[in-house]
Amino acid sequence: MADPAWLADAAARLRSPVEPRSDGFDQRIVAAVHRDRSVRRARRRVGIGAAVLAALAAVWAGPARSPRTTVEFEINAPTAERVSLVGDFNNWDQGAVPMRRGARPGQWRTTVPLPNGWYRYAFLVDQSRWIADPAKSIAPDADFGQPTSLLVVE
Amino acid sequence: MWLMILLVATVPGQLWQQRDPRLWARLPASVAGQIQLLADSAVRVRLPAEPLIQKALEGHSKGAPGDRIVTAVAALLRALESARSALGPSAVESEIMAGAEWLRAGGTAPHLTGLRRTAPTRQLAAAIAMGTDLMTRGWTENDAAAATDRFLTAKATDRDFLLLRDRIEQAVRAGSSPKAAVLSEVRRLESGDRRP
Repeated sequence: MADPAWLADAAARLRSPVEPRSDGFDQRIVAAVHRDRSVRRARRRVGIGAAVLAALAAVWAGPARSPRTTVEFEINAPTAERVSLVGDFNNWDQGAVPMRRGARPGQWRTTVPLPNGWYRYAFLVDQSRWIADPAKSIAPDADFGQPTSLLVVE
Repeated sequence: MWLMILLVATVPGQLWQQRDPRLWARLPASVAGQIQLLADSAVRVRLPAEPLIQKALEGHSKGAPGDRIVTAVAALLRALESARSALGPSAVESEIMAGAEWLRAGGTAPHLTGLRRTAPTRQLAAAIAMGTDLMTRGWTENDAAAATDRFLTAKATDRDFLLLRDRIEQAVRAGSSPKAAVLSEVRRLESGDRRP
């Protein structure tokens, strides 16, 4: 028995390619997919950019700092009005680390957090007299005619 | 675009390396220029430049004239080169600086090489610092190197080396000689006594 006309028509419609709907629904779906891809591409670029900037920042900042040890410095200078701690760790800046009077008469103290390393330093008394630290090693050279101490922080 | 960012980000860093602002802010330009050349030559041969910069700043802070600062920095650069050569290419910055101090205390390169041979894989900065300390206290280089070598052989830790100076002070205050104190410590370590 032959198919009814409506069935043959339906079969023909199913075999034919689907045309986009005229209301633009398919176009909106396709556009949304494209938008989603663009957003993901943009996000990926931003991520790569952030990673590159972080790497550059790390290079700019130099190697990671090692843990710091708090080192205590102490000197006995009974007649001093002012004592400073000056050395490699403060670029030999005479004003960077002023010392405080300690509990004992004539005692001057300070503490400095230092990363592991090798340091040279001295005490500057009243902006005029350099004194090596009697509690530490004396630097062997005296290039500038003033005593210097050595400190190894491990 | 990333190439542009890379260029913009790295060029100032390289300029900073070529011209250390600490030198130019505090030293006369002619002195800063000479120190900068020495520091740059250190970097070219992969030696640490920072000790040279600090030596120059130390000289300035201590009121030394410019020519004396340049002479001191040049001498330190030579000592760093000799120390690295004696300790081998694997020497790290603190070892090279310790080795330079050893040489400037009157020590010689063969003894540094000998210490490296005794302990090829461990950090030697604290050990060399102890040996240098002994030399600045009047020990001969042979005695200082022998004591350091014995400590290394006895597997002394960096902490042992750093504590040694305090032990010497205590022993000397108690009436002992520094040499006797060191030998006592060596014997203690060789017997396996690891008490602090």
